[in-house]
Amino acid sequence: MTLDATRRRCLVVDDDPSIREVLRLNLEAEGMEVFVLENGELVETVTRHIAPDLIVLDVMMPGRDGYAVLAALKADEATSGVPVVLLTAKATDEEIWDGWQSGADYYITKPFNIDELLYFLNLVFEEEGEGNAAIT
Amino acid sequence: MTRRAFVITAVNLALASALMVLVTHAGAPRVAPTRVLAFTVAFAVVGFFPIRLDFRRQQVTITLTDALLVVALFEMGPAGVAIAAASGEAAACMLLRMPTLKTLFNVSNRLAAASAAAVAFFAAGATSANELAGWAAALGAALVFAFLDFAPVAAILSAAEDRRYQDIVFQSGPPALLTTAAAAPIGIVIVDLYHQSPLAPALLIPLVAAVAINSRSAAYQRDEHLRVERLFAATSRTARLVSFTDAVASVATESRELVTGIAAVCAVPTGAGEWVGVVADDDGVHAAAAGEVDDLVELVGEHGAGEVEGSRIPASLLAVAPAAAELLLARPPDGSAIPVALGVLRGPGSDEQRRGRVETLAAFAAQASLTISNARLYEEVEAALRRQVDLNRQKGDFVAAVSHELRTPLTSVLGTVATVLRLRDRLSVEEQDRLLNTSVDQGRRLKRLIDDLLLVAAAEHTTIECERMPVDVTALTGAVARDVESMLGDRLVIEIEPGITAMRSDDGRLRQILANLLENAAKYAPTGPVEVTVSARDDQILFAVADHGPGIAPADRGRVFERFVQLDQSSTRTRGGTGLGLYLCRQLADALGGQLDLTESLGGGACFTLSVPSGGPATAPAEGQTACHGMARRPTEAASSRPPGRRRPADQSAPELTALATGGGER
Repeated sequence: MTLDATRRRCLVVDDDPSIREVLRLNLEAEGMEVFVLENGELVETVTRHIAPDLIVLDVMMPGRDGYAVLAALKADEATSGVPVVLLTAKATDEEIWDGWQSGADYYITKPFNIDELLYFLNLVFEEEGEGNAAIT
Repeated sequence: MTRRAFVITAVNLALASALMVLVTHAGAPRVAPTRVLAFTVAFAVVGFFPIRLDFRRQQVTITLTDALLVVALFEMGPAGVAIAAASGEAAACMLLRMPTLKTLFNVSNRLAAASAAAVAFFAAGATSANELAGWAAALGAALVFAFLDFAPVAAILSAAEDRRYQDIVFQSGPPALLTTAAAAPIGIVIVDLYHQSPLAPALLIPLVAAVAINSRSAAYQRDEHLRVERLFAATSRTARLVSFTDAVASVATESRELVTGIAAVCAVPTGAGEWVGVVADDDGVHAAAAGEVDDLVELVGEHGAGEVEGSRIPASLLAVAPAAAELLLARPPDGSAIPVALGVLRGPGSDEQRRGRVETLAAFAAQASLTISNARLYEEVEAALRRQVDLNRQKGDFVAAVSHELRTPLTSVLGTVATVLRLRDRLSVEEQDRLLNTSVDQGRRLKRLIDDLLLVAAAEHTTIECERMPVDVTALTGAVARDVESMLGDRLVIEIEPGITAMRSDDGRLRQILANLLENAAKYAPTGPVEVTVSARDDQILFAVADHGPGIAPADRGRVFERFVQLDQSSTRTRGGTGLGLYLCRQLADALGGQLDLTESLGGGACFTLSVPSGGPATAPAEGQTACHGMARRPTEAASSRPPGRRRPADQSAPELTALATGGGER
């Protein structure tokens, strides 16, 4: 599954270095420009600054957890339009429900299938259509 | 109240004296000593045997005093009547062992009342018991007597019970006057019969006796009924209580009220062989001092249910109610749910009433035992339930934590390998190597975690087996360093004291403990070096793992070794962790015959010190396994935890081990 040639930007937020690496390699291979953060502190600031087309956000992180970051992103008009994929090892029914309820656009449990993530990406970018084609 | 009594007594005496002077002046007959004496004895006897009757739910005491008074009025002059009545009352009071003040009060009352009645009768001038005029005069005088006898008592009652004087007079007055109106004619009849035939009054004796006996039993039954009513009310008030302290306090309060005491003490055993108690008095309920409790328990143990009279009340208990004249004791019957010691201090009372009160208290004590034991059970069940709920919640948290902990390294393993497969040619060789090595590291981490969990799962059930083989300390620390390389990298500093000879222990277990401690350090001390220092002391080898993180507060140092405990729940939820690591480490340390301690490191962080017997070669048993207490260990773990090159005794190996061993059997 490949995306079209326009360089889309993706922000990856996860405290686990190997997962950051995995995501970075795979998303770059799809032609995306990937930025990484290792905790939730600066996510909103960075988002406003680089205007990513997608954010992949881990839930269990030291300091601010993913839910708090997500809430902040959705509360701010400048950032609320960016689609967010929540990534987490929380997999009980209750936690999945919480995840969907939190306002995330997609919710993936670890261990995840890379193809699943890329499939979602594709959906998101197709929906947006030409609107975001002019991002550098 | 005492002051009031004194005042009234004085008034009575003054009134009596005035009347006597008046009447003597008016020419009343002189006092006839023998008659006065006879009537005094009669008054005393009659006063000593009152008759109690129920009159419209009110207890009324009829004495034949009224009747006797009427007889006296006809047979003696006013002075004689007054003296005889007063003396008789004095004698009766003394025989009943009433306190001095009360005696004085009663006597003065009687004196004044009798004087007034006699003077009134004298003034009326009628002398024949056969005529209407005589009857009217006698009745009138008797009513005067009754009224003046009652009015001062009502004054005292209104002060004692804090009720209005008018209320008491209107409530209790009419019955008193009516009983007088009933008793007085008996006197008239006696006088009349006597004048007709001296022995005729004897005909009334059976009637009087019957009434007296009947009223006595009726009074007794009424007392019983009242007592049961009050007991029932007290019991139902206390039965509802489910708090232990409330129950004990309530028992004390109710006992005090039940037998109208000044103060009550209730003591119960705590279960540790000690007793605790509460005191209920005018000010409410408060804890009893140890001395009071001990004395009460001793007394109750000696006497069981019963009473202790004033002089023999122990000083400590007397201090609770200095005005007490007696101490009533009670305890539940043997075999009751919980022993209770009850003591009520009260003012003086009649023997008969005391007996009734002791019985009532004893009955209440049986109920009290039930109530208190009930409350205690309730609290215990509640506590057990809360503990269970807590434990369930901890286990639920644990399951969630375990799930997360297992999934995280697994994600790395799968993700890295999947990435290599997907992007193969698009990755440089270095990148591919890095990814695949990460997969191996994380896989090992996952395996360690699974080992830990299995150990904990088996923790309660079976004993662990530990090895006793030579351990190369340098090799051991090197292996541990490799285990945690991805987490600590060059933050790890290892220092081994020179001259540490080889030790004999289980290096797999040691490696497990050290890797765990280092993982913790990496997690909780994100910056600064982590120092591992190996030293020898006496026959122990010490491994100290020190970090420069925030450290662990002294209050928490015991708790961290408990299962499922993680300090700062919020951050560990995000940091991950099972709350098992330190618990396991300690169990393993125990199994090795050593111990694991926590102190503060020089940098302010935490320092865990594992001390293990060095296991001198001379005393060690033959190479092989030694059973130690602790947790179970499965053969696969044992084999795979040993560095390559060492072979376990042949009979211990399992077929699947070879496959694992060839794949680099390091943990």
